[in-house]
Amino acid sequence: MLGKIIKYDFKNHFKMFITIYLCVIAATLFACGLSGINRLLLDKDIQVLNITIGLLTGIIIVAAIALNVLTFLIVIYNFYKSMVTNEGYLTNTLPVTKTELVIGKNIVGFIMCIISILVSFGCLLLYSVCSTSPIMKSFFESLKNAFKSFNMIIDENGFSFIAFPLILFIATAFIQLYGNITYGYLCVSLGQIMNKNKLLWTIIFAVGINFILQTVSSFLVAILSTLFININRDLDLAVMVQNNSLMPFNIMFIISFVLDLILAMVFSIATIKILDKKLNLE
Amino acid sequence: MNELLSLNGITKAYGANTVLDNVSFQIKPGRIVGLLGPNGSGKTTLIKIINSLCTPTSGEVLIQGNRPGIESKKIVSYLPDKLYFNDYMTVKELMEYYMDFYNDFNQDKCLTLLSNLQIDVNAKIKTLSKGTKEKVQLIMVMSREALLYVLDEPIGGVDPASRDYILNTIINNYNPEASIIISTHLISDIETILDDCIFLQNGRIVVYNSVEALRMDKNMSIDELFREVFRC
Amino acid sequence: MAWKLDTKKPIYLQIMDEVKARIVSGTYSPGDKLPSVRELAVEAGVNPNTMQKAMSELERTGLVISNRTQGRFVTEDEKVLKSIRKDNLETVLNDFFKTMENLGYTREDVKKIVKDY
Repeated sequence: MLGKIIKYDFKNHFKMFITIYLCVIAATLFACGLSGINRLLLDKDIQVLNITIGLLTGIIIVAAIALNVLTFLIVIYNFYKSMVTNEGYLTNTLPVTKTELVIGKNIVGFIMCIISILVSFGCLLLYSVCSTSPIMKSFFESLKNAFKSFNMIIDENGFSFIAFPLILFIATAFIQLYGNITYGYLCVSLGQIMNKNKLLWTIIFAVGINFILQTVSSFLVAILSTLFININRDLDLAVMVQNNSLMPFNIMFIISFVLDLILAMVFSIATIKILDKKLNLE
Repeated sequence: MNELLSLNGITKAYGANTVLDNVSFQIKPGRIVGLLGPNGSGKTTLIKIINSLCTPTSGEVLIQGNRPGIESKKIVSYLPDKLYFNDYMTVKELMEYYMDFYNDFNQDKCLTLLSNLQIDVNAKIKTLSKGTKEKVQLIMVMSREALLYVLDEPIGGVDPASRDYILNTIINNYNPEASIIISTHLISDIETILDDCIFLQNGRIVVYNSVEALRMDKNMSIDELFREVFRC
Repeated sequence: MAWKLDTKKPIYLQIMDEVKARIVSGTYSPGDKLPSVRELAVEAGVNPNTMQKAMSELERTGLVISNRTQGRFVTEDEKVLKSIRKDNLETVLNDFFKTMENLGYTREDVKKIVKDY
C-alpha cells in the first residue's frame, strides 16, 4: 500500500509542478537565447540589451530561489489538503495505516524538493554558461574555481580524503530537507487539532517549534562538538588540510546528521500518533 | 455473535459538551437501517466513530468483531455528506484510485451506474455540477462490494429522477450478508426501503425498531413519527 | 415507477393486497411464475426483506406456491382463487354500501337502483 500512496501523491504533485518546471526552463532558455543575441550585439559595441539582460538575470535568480521555497510550501499545503480538509474523508478512510500515509507523503515531499533543487540549479548553471550578465559570469567563475580547488585537493590528498566529507555534506543536506518536511507535516497535524483556523494554528506551531529548535540545536551541536574537538584549534581548514585529515569537519557533520535524523524520526512518529488518535476533520 | 456492527456504551464528549451518551446497538447483516435525528443529535459524530475518523471518549465499536482499523476499512464503504474529491482527477482516475485501494471494487458496476446516470467517465471532476459530483461520489461508494455501507445524506442534493434511480440501485444491490446505514433528513423518500430505524436525540437512542412494527404500533408513517418525537 | 404505498400502514400488508389484486385481475394468471423478490422489490420501491415477508405471508395463505429451486408461482387451486375473489367482492360491496349509506340511501334504495342500472 505504501507504494500506491507514493504513486498517487507523486502524480498529484507532478501534475501541478510540471507546468511550473516547464515555465522556469522556458524562461531560462529564453534568457539564454537573448544572451546569445546580446553577445553578438556587444561584439559590435551595441549595449542596448544590457538592461533587459540585467532584469532577466534578476528574475531568473529570484525564480530559482522562489521555486524551492514554493515547492516546500506547496508540499506542506498538499499534506494539509489531503489529510485535513474534506479530502481527508477519502484519505483517512482508505485501508492503510497512518504510518504508511505519513511516510509515503514524507518521501514524495522530499523527492519533489530534490527535483526542484535540481531544476533550479540546472537552470542557473545553464544560464550562467550562456549569460552576458556580469553576475552570472562571476557565478560561473566561482563554480569553476571551486571545481579546480576540489581537483587540487584530490590530487594532493587522494579522493577518499574529500569523498567522505562530501558524502556527509550531501547526506546532512538531505536529512535536513527531509526533516523540514516532517517538521512541516507535524505542524499541520498539530494545527488540525484546533477546531477553528487550522491553517493559522499550523503557522503558529511552525514558528513556535522552529524558534525552540533553532536555539536548542545550535546549542547541542556546539556542545557535542566540543566533546570531540577543540573548535578553535581543530576547525581551521588550512590546518586540517595540512594534517591530511578533515576529521573535525566530518565529526561535526556526523553529529549534525544524527541529530537531524533523530529529529526527523521524532517528528514523523509524532505526526503519525496525532493523526491516529486526534484526527479532527470538520 | 453474528452482528455486523456492534456499539457498546459509546460516549463522546468535547470538554463539557456530551455529543453521544452511552449509545449501544447492534446491526445484523442484511438490514437497511435509517439513522434519523435532527441536526446536532450526534449522527455525524456516530458515523465518524464507526469510520475511525473520531475516537470515542469511552465505549467500544466492533465491526465484524474487530475494532475499527485497516480490516474494518476494507469492508466498510463510507459516503460522507461532503464532497471529498481532489479536483484534479477525472472520473476515470477516481475510479482507478478506488480500484487500486479497494479489492472489493466492482468496475463493471461502476461503469454501468455512471453511464445510466449519463456521467462522462473522462470528465474532469472539477467541471461537474455539484449534484453530479455527489452522484459520482455515491456511485464509487456503491460500486464496492462492501459488508457495511454508511451513507450520510445520499440523496440530499440530487434531483428526484436520479433519487429514484439511486434508491432502486440500493434495493437492487441488496445482499443478505451486507447492511446499509442511511442517515438522512428526507425520511419520507426512503422510509419504504428501510428495515429498521434509529432515532437519535441529544446523543441518545430514543427509538430503535423495525419500521413495519412502528407503523403497526403507532398508525403513522416514520416521517410523521419523526415529526412527533422531535417536535420543536 | 414505485407502487403507490401508504407509509402510515404496514407496507407488507399493502404489498399482499397489490399481489392479490394482480392475481384477481389476471395480470398474474394461475400457475404463472412470479418475478423474484428482488425484482418485485425494485419495482415496488421497497425493502427486499419487506417484500420477502409479504410473499411468505401469501405462501401461508396458499395463494402463492414456493418451489425452492424454481421460484414462486401463483396457485392453480380453484378453491383458493375463488375465495380471494369472494373476499375482494365482499370488500368492494361493503365499501359501496357504506358510501351509499353516507350519501343518505338505505339498503332497499340501493338494491332498487342497482337493478334498474
